Amino acid sequence: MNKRRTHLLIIWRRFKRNKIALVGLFIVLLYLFTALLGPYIAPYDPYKQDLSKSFAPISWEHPFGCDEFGRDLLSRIIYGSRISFIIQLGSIVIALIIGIALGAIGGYYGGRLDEVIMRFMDILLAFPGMLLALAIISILGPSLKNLIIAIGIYSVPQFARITRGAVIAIKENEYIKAAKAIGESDLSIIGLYVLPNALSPIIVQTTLRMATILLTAAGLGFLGLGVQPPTPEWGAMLSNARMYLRIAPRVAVLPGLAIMFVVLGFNLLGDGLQDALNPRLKE
Amino acid sequence: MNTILRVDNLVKYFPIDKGIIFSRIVGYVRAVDGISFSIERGETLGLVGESGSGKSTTGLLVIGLINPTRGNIIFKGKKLSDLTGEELKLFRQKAQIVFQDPFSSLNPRMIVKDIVGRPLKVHKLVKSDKEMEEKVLKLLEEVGLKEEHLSRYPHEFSGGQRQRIAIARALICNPEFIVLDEPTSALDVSVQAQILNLLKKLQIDRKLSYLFISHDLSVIRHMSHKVAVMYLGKIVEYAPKKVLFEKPLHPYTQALLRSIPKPAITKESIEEKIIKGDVPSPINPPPGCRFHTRCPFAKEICTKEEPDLKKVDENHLVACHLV
Amino acid sequence: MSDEILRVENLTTYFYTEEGVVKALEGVSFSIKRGEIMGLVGETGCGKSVTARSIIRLIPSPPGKIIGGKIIFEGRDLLKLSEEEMRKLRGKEIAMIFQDPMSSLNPVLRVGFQVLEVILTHTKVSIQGGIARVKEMFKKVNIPDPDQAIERYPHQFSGGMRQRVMTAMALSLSPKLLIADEPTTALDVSIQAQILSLIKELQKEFSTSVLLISHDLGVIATMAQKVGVMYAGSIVEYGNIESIFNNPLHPYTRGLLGAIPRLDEDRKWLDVIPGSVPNLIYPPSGCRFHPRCSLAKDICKKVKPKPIEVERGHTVACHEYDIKGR
Repeated sequence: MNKRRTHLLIIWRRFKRNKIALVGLFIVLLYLFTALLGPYIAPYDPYKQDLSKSFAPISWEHPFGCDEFGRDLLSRIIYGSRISFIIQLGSIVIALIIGIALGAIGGYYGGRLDEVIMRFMDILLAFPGMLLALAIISILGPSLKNLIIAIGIYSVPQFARITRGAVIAIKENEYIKAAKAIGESDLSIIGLYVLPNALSPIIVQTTLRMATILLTAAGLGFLGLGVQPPTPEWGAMLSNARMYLRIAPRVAVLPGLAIMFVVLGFNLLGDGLQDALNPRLKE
Repeated sequence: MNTILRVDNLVKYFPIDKGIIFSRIVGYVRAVDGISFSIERGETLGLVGESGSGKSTTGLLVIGLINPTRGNIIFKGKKLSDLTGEELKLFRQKAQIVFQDPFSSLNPRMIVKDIVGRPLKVHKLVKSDKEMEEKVLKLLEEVGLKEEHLSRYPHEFSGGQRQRIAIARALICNPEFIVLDEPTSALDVSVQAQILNLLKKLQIDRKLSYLFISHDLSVIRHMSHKVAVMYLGKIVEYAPKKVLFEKPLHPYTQALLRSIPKPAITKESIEEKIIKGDVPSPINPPPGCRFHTRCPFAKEICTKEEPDLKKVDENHLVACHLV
Repeated sequence: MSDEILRVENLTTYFYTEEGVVKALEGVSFSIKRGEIMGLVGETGCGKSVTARSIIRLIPSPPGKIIGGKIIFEGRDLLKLSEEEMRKLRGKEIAMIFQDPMSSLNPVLRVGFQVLEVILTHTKVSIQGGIARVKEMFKKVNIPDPDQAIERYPHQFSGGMRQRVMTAMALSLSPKLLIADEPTTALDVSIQAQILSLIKELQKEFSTSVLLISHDLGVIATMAQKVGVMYAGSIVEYGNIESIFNNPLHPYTRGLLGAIPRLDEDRKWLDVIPGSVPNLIYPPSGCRFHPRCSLAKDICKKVKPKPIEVERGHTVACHEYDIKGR
């Protein structure tokens, strides 16, 4: 009789049942694989120009063909995944650290402190769409580092909100009272008792946010406010290819499809995780 | 120093506020409205009452998890409100609490070893993880659990086992006093028997003092040396166990004892057990004696003047005009 | 036989879950006479709630399934009826009250409306007639000021009052059988007697039979005429109240009675039944109680004991009585 069943195993089983979520997982894993192993799997140097191959069509040597400068499109897309991933990673780390900290402090202590933090978050959220990220970029100037900072800050309020909500709910549990009764400090309580129990919504939010970050980065890249050429960022590639839609639509379509698939993948994965981690919500 | 805990005129009001943007206080829940009692070393005081009586709030006050509105809580001769940071930490070793719900009083993300062992780390009573583990193991055995349970999570245990874990956590720093807030109310009868026996044994072995809170009078009878009956924030009767159960004087105590269906064939019918009326709200308690709205003997004075807790006998106090 | 309103024969209900098959009920049999109150008592996991829900056929399926037995209500086997026919019965012939009235009352509908809905669904009265009946029922269950009360929402009532609303709803159509699943467990002790007394009173007035489910032996002793003690999916002892309480036979029943602290006597230690309730996915072989039983013999591990009538109106399923009983 095996009563020992790890939490993770139960969650994995629940997750497995959702076929669409598995598709999401597959896409994300493929994306991560590509991003991490980029230089080893890309057939060509994405920066190497060869004007004689300008707009070379799809062929065995160039499965995605070449762009306007004769650069291999497949390699550029593969390297593009690395760029996107770096942006996602950097931004999410910023957003998580600041967002969770603010949300945990506000949620745990409540009162004036909470109100101030939340009003501040509301201000950030009041900016429509990615206007906030845009504004920050215009102040700091377009570069990879600033892109990460801008998108990171832009993502903070969501994490603060989610963390705060989870903390407020968890605070009411008796094991928190028990922790106080044994003399735990507030910091210990937040770190050992509250946050570990708030992981589910944070993980889901992180996954879904990865999609938004990618989209935002691509959007800013499209506007020319992200990484600068010749760096192969999908959004920028999309933007540059606009001019050539008549000649070689695939130069725009393929980066666009890449964006679409990865965003879809993260969304499906996020939804699947949501259902697997919180089965009661579905009922 | 035989008195472990003394409580003097303890009061706790919870403010109720209304309004979404600018909230203002519209009233108070008078959860505990002036109670006094004491507990000696090795003794159990049973605190019995129904919902709204204030018994759970009393438990939380006495352990320092909430602050009183007024009144004194004196632990081993020192006022709780006077304790410095260091002294407060020591208090947390000497006074502990076990909660009612075994399903929410343990951190779902901590293994048993840490749940029981954390207090040792918090109070720096051990120098290494290994030392902590040894102490935890000894305690687990004392409460009837095994070594293999050390690395498991709460959800892998039954309600009874979880309460044992909670009890182990409360004992790890060798306390002198434990508040037991309905520790067996959520458990099956047969599991309850195991836990109650365990608590009694621990009390004898370790000379512990208990504040045993429950709504179940038979459990209170089994566990207590003396009993305080609470109604709407006040103690209405306070007596040694045998006296309370054999010669109850307050109409509420009498009604409560009568209202309990006994697991035996008796001549008592269910109709005789009724206490009329509903439990009033602690926000607006009835004027005068709080029980008068449901009391079969209520007189005019009961509607106007609140009775004080008076001594009727050696150790027997009752708050009733008719006694 | 026409005196019997319900006869359950060999009821077997399993739950097919991810972790395995939970054999929740294994051959449960009992009967209730017209106008009788029968108690079903046991601890968590014994199957008393599952029994109730099997009778009224509210077992969620999947993962549950009633795989065998008969439930004969007024001559008809409920297990052979279609869902449509069951729906006609529920509320009208067989009604149920649950433990937590807050979760069985719709919080956004007025209570009067909820009771009215039940009446209108099953009878052909006019709305006025229905409302009059609702007020009448509220008066019967002692809800003060029925004209006002019907307009209120569940959260505006105390627990005891809500349970009265549930009782009014359940009895509004004078059902032949009322199933009360732990009706007072969530209520204060001082209110408990009111609700139980109400059930008894109405039961007498309408000649309703009651299946009263509780873990509280005191409640059962005071209310019921007959009781079935359940353990791990079967009835281990069954008979009239006096026999069971004055002469408990099954080791589990005795253990249970010994484990309860008493209001009128002092003991140092409570009697403990060693071990814990078994996992019903892998229940013990033979008699499911054998791992915890001080009288367990070889046969107890192999063969599940059949109920034996030891004295008039008192049966027990235990091998200890195999030789003696006959």
